[in-house]
This record gives sequence, structure tokens and C-alpha cells, in this order.
Amino acid sequence: MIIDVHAHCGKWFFPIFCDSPERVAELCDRYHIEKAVFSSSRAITYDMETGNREAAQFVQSDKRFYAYVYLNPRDPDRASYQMKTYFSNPRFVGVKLHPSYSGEPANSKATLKLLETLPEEKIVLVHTWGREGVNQVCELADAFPKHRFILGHMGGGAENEWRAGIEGGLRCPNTYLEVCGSVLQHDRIREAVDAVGSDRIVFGSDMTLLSPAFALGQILDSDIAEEDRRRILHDNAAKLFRFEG
Amino acid sequence: MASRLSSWGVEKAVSLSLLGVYYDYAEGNEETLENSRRLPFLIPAATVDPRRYYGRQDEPLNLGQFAALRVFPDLQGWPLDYAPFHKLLEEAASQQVPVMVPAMSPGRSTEIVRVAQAVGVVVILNSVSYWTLSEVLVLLARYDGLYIGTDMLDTPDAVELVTDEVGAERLIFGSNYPFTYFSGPLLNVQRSQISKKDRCLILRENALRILGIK
Repeated sequence: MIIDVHAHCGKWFFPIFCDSPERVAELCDRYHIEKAVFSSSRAITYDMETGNREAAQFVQSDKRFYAYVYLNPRDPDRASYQMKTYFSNPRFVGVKLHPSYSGEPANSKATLKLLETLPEEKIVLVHTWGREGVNQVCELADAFPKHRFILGHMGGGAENEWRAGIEGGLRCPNTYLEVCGSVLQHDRIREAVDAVGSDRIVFGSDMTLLSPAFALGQILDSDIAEEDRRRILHDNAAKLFRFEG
Repeated sequence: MASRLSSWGVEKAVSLSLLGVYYDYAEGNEETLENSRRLPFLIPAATVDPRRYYGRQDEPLNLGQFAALRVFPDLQGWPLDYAPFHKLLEEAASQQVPVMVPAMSPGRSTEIVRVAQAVGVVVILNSVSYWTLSEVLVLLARYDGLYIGTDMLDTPDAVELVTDEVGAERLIFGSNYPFTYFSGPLLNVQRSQISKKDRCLILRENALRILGIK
């Protein structure tokens, strides 16, 4: 079974028509996804408050569904209120930041200030693209050494990007590499396992933007031990999000 | 590589030499033919770098021994609105060889199809992803000589969507292996909610028909 730490609910401005809770549940069945953590595409691209409200409704539809509350640090008062509102709901297990959409770097003063009140058990998933993006998340992770940060896409699809992601993982022990992306170059997973160890790599699919097939295929094809595969696909996320038991 | 492909159930693989992509296409095409003679499951694809002034009398462009012509504008840094590429499409059309072109960014497929339609060449677009799927769906309905490779067809319902809109006959399985992982594109087709017949078309029959593989 699989735990997917990088999923989205809501519509996309691309030809994707499997956005209803029923269709997403069916997708989870198809890929044996036991649990998935979603953030709202509406919250990320357009309206933080409405999107998070939709995510709260969405996760109620299936016991496998959990959520990140999306935070836009450019709107600090409302973002702070979003945390207060949703962290009383046990299905909200973390925070999603997307510097490319919000325009607010992961190491900005506004982001650092916003996360001051984040409970330590809540996980932060940050969209991480390129060396500069990785360095910014590393600065954020250094500022909050007791929190855990997931580097979404492990830095990106191009070779220099995912290698930067691995370097970031090596630098910051409180970070995890998440594996999804459109272009998944051969050997990125094996190199990541060799460098940071399989206990700090987690499976994400980016569904419903991307099919889980691609992220799953790279884990299945990687020259790594069966135990490493099990950790990446399931065990690390179970421990990180305290899903076990 | 051969044993890995075989372990995934690959019966035949259209492939080419990177020597032809990065250095000398004539030398690379020779290497591709040699490899396919040695390993008959490899079906040779030719490549041409249009930055070189190809097709001189002493260097005729003979595509007859190849199942397809694959080009690499991104790696080689040339635009699609480029006279040598248009000439290449004309050449492929006259030799009845399908052309494989990457369509990673919006606008590119429209540009390719505009020229391909004019010369009547069959085009297989690869690297079609969520960014370009809308554009490609429109083009598939407008040009019968257009097909999509599944290597980056990465949205959860893309295979079903293309099948519903224009038919599974327009999809050809591709993996881009070993540059990217093989099993992702395979799982994407295997686990799509389409009929067994459509799956067989995508994974096997369409390639045999379109590329003329025996």
C-alpha cells in the first residue's frame, strides 16, 4: 500500500476531468493508495480561504483523505486565521506553501513570521523548484529545526535541479525529499537513496494534476532494496504524519 | 538494457543512437542500423540535425531503412519555424516515413501540424503533457496524420480522454527510456479505464501499423 503526501483536490485549468471525490477515490483504488494528503488547487491558484474550505469538505468524503491548509504569506492575517481555523480539524495534518504561485519566497520575512505559530507536529510541504528554491527552503528549515519540511518535487525535473534537491536534503536533516514531477530522469531515486537514505524520501504523485502512475513507476524501476521501496511508498509518511496505529 | 526491456514485456523498441543526436547524425544512424542488426528487437529510427546542410549529392538522405525519423529541436537549439526542418518534413513525406517531434510547450504542436498538414507527412508528437494536451486534442480532430506518444501523457485521465475524443488508434506507447523511467508510462496505460482492445492498440497494434513494423 501507498501513502501519497502530495495530492490536490479541486479543478485545474488543464483538460483533467477526474476532480470529484468519487473519481479521486477511484484513482486511489486503482493505485492502491491507502492515504493521501491534499491541498486545494483553488487555494493555491486563486482564493486561499474558499479553497481551504473546499479542502475541508473534500477530506470528509473519504476516510483515506487528509489535507494541508494552504497558506499565502502575502496575506499574513488571513493566513494565520486559516491555521487557527483548520488545525482543530484532525484531518488537517500540515501546511502547503507554493512560492511560485504566491510570489513569496520560502525564506522571506513574511513566511518566517507566519510559521512562528505553526505547531511542531504539523508538516510543511513546499513546492521546490531549482537550486535557488531549494536554498530558500533550506533556510526556512534551518530557522525551524524542530519542524519537518517536505521538498516537493525534490527540487525539480532537470538533472541540476534534483541534484540540488538532494544536496538540500543532505544539508538539512529536518527535510524530506518528495518524488513527483513531469520529467522524471532515470537514477534520481537511486542517487537520492544513496545520498540521504531511504528514510528521508516520501512518495507523492501530484494527483489530480498528474497520474500517480509516473511517480510510482520510478520507484518500482529504481535499483534500490525492497525495504527502501517500502519506506518510500509507505512507512516514512506513516511515521512522519503519525498515521500508524 | 535489452534484458530490462524484456522483463517489462517489450517485444520491440524503436530506438536510435545518441551519437546522432549530439554529434554526427550520419554516423549515429549507421550505429543505429548496426545495433538493430545485432539486436533484432530494436527497430531503427533515424535522426537528422537540420543545423547541418544535409542532403548534398554525396550525402543523400536515405530514410528507407528506418521506421521513423526523430528530431530533437530542444537539445540541438533550433526553432520549428525553420526552413531546414520544413525541408526535412517534405523529405520524410516523400519517403513516407513518420516524423517524431517533441511538443513540450504550448504553440509548438500547432506550428508542427501547420507545416505537416501542408506536406502530408505523418507526425507523432512526443512529450505531450498537461501543458499541451488541450492544444493537441484540437489538432488531433483537425489532422488525421497526427498521433500522440504516451511517454509524458501525465494527467490521470489523459488516456481515457484521448480515447473518448478521437479514438485509441491515435495513441502510441512510448517510454523515453532510459532517459526517464519505463514503468510510469506503462502503468498509466495499463491502469487506464479503457477496453482491452484499446489497450492493445496503444501498447502494440498502432505502432505496428503506423511505423510499418513487421
